Amino acid sequence: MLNLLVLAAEAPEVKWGIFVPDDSTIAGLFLALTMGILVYVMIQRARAGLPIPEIRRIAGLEAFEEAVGRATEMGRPVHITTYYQDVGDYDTWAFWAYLAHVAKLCASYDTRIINTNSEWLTMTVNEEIIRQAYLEAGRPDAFIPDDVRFMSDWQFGYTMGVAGMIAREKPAANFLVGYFYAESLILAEAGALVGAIQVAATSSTAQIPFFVASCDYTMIGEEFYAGAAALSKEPVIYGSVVAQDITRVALVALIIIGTLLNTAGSSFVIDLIKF
Amino acid sequence: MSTDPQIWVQAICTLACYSYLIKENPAYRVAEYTLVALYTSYNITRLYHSFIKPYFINYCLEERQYYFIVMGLLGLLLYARYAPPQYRWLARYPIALQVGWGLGGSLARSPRPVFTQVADVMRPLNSIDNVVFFVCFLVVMSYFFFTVAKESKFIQGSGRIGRYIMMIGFGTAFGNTVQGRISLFLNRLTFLLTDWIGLSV
Repeated sequence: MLNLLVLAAEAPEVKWGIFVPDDSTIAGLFLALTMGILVYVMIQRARAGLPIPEIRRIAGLEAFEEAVGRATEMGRPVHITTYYQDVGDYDTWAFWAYLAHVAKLCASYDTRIINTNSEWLTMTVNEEIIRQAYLEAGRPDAFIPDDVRFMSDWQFGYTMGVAGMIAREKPAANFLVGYFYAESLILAEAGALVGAIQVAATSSTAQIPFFVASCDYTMIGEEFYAGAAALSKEPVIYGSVVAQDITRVALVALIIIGTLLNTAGSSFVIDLIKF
Repeated sequence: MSTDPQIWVQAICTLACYSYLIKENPAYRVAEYTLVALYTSYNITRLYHSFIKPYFINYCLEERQYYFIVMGLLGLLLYARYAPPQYRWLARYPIALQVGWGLGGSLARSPRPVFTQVADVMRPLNSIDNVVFFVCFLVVMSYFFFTVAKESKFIQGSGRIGRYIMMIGFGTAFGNTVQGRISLFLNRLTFLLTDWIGLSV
């Protein structure tokens, strides 16, 4: 019966002959293309050393060095983790900038770094990043491969494993960086129980409240990505963040115009965006 | 007191997990390792039945769709990281493929949901609710301007107000979730007192 109803229904009109007839398909394509061009231009400018806008100071970034320094003084390890993020997720890419920064600090201070994982492919990249940091610091022998650990790819298996590891190893610094879910508060509480200085950076709006309540420093939302760019100084990340920022301002301007027009009774901007 | 061994296992595991609140101890460690081991063993079985059996045994060997071997070989290249150093670079190829696939997929899926939200933000300013929403939206957004107009006192002040507004929102979310967590704890407590010990609560 359902099949008959589907057949009887009028076929939806395909936009411009190839686009599915959903809201914002063509507008979305134009946004992607515009952003792509903007990102490319900004990356090229950053690579060529041409002036591009500087990223403002982000409270919390300095805390990474402070926390690693404290761990060094106390002779205790540093722990850094991100929850289940695939290598193709942009949160993972931002996490790698933080991991490289922390690994470099640990390698130069000769402090042990522990990285826990719930995604096996991300773990292999993490291991390479940490190994490279020790190599650059001239201490390849100080790198301990067993400190890059796979816990479990099941959420609470991972959580329990990390909480147990924190209780046993007692890291002096606990960095929770990336996209988290319900495990966020458990991990942060485990760190608080052993007296670790805790820095969190996440784009997960649902978990920010827990990090704000239980960590010493929290980078919220887009600060996480901007922080990655500021830390790495990598032209690709830096140029992308600047391009995103310009797009964000343009969208806010569009929203102001759209809201005023909508108040006046015109849905021109909304129709444009839904096209 | 319950005589059902399953209830006893559940109760002991629950208490072992809560013992972490006192300090890390052997009971917690047993629960932790058991949980991780159980899931790992379950996952190996699941992966065999979800991937190796259908793709390699059924499609590749039985139906002779040999192109699945290419994917299998790419997957096997990941083990090259355990090979002698001169062959370890081979492990980068499957990772590169996965990264490209993931980022391409993200790019294709990303713009539309953004525009759906943007269109929803543009509400007519004909009620107090909508005006408050619009003002809050603008000040919160200005907190996330990292490069543009970062020297402007107006944007800095607006961003500071935006941060306070976000904190109010975070506080609400925190309180809401803590209540949820307490109800989860009460559920466990009810289980221990009624199902295990046999009290009537």
